[in-house]
Amino acid sequence: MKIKKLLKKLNAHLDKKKEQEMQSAEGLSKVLKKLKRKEQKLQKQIKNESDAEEREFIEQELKIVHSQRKKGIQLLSDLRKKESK
Amino acid sequence: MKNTLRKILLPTIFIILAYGFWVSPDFKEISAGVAIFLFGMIALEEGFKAFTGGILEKVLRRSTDRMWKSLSFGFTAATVMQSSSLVSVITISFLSAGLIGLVEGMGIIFGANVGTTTGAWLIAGFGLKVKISAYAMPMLVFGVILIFQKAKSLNGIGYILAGLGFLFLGIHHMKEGFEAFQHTITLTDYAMNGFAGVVVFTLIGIIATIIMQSSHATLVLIITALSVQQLTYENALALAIGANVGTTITAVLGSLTSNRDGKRLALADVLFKVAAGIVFMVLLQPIMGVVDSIARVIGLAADDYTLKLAVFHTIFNIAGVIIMIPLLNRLVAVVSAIIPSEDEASFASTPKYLNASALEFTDTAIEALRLETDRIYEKAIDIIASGLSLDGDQIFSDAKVKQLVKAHDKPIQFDVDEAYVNEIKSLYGAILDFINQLPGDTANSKQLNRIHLANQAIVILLKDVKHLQKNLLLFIGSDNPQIANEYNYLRTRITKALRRLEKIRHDDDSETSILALDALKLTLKKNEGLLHERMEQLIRDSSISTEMAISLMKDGNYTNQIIRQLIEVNSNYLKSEEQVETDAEHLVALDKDEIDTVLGEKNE
Repeated sequence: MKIKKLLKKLNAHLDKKKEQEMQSAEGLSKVLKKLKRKEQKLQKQIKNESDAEEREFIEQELKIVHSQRKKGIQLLSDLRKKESK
Repeated sequence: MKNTLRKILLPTIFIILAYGFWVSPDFKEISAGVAIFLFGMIALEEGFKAFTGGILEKVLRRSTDRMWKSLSFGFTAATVMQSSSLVSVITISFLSAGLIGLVEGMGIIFGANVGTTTGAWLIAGFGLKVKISAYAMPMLVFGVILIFQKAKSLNGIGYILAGLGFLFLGIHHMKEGFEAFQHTITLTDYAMNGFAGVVVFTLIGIIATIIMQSSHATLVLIITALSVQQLTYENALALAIGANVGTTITAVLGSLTSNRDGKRLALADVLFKVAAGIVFMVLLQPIMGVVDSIARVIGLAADDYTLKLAVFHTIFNIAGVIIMIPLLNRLVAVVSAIIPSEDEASFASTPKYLNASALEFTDTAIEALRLETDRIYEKAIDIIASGLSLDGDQIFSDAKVKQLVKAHDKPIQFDVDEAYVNEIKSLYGAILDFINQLPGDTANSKQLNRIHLANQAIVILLKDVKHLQKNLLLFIGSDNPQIANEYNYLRTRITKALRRLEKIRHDDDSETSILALDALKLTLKKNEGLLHERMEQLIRDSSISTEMAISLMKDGNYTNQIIRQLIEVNSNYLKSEEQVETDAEHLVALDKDEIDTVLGEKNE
């Protein structure tokens, strides 16, 4: 598995367009991980927040993060499909 | 006079060299060796430049926060790149771009001075004892093949390999040349003893290094000449002192186009090397004794002068660093006194970070552009505050926004246009000029375009502030409390947006700052809807006149536009730790329709 991954990386290095796509995928997966962490943090904050107005504000932020994650996951899966072709 | 001298200098050098080549084929071989060696250095620098994209800045931030880290960074960089000159130029470029401070810069350069001594060890210990040209050939072949590859990293590795190949080949030719030379001429006949000899050979070392702009090249020449007994040991040491002093020329040349901190760093390097040079010249005899003792301890033969020279070179630089580190703050004070700071006000509208030195590497150029953009943004915030009849110093205070706006209910005349011309216009022009000087390859063009867009948005929003200000001055002090309230509400909205943006800009915990802007876009969208509702209500209640309503409608739109542009500035200015993540954040950021969808979900 590791050799396969290494070969894929080497191949991508030799092909400029593929390298760019691979970098995009790498960037997206990093950002998605961060967004997941942010989502969990916001969920925790909502639970502990007693002020209704503030809670509504955090809920709104959570919805945005959720939409961003959804969009990111879609973009990443499109890229991965392209890569496997 | 200077120009005439410059015009005749190059032809004179050519004629002297040509005569030398005609008279002595051995001299030709040595000179060719030096030329190939220097060409190798150029290729090596080219190779390392390919790896400066993004990673360099990240490494720098983490590796210069402590003095020992700065020293180690300089040491490692110079050891790996085998060029303290390249490290000096990079450091000055970083300093000019504001990536590091003066003390950190000094740490790196001092570390690099020690790092560069590894070169002498390599040449003396390995280069002379092994048939070095055997390594050069495959390196050149592999290197050149890789240079033809499209991928930037492979291309960079190619240049590094070819560079090392040329370095080895150059050393080989110098060695061959000197070996053949000893059958015809004995340079040791010109050896000089005593302090006069030390002074003369130190000067020769300085001049040779200034001409070749590489202490490495001088050292290779010294070591190879020493290995075939064409130089006396004592004269070789004096030449090494000269090489160490002369190498500061690269930093001086690099700093000519840099800002004040860059010049200070170069001066510190010169002071450091000259001081160490004088001490070593005066104390040469006792230091030779120290070198002998160290050589005995590490098991060197008494006549192994080339490795003893490496020991001497190392002592020179390590001793210099040990003496200088405790005096670092004093050294900073001295160079700051010699090159004083300009009065901040006198260059308020001249670029602080955009200089030719920052242009040296794309990374530093982009960072310089970001820092300059940050300056423009801060100036723009002051203009916005004054345009809204608020106090720029209080905008980010702890006071509640509503109270802040209420406390400033008197209209204050302020010429937004004039402030734009005095504070922003020339900086904006300088940014555009600077961008145009950079190579526009695809990886950089994206970043440069964002910086351009950020600045453009600042200019647009200031125009909107000017339009908004016209009625705002008229209505915030109005007798009609309703209309005054509405205009105060517009001021409140902009101030709140500025505060939220400021929080995002300086939130170290936020890992996705570009995406954090989407929450602001949602608030803006929500408020756009509310404006219409408020307006209708006010007209229905006859609280404001139709003219007032029209003005308010128009100014509400200006307010929305200002906030939109403020988001735009920050969306283009902010970045993640790595470029790939910044690009990914831009891809994931929600567009207008997607914000609408989130807002729709909320209202359902």
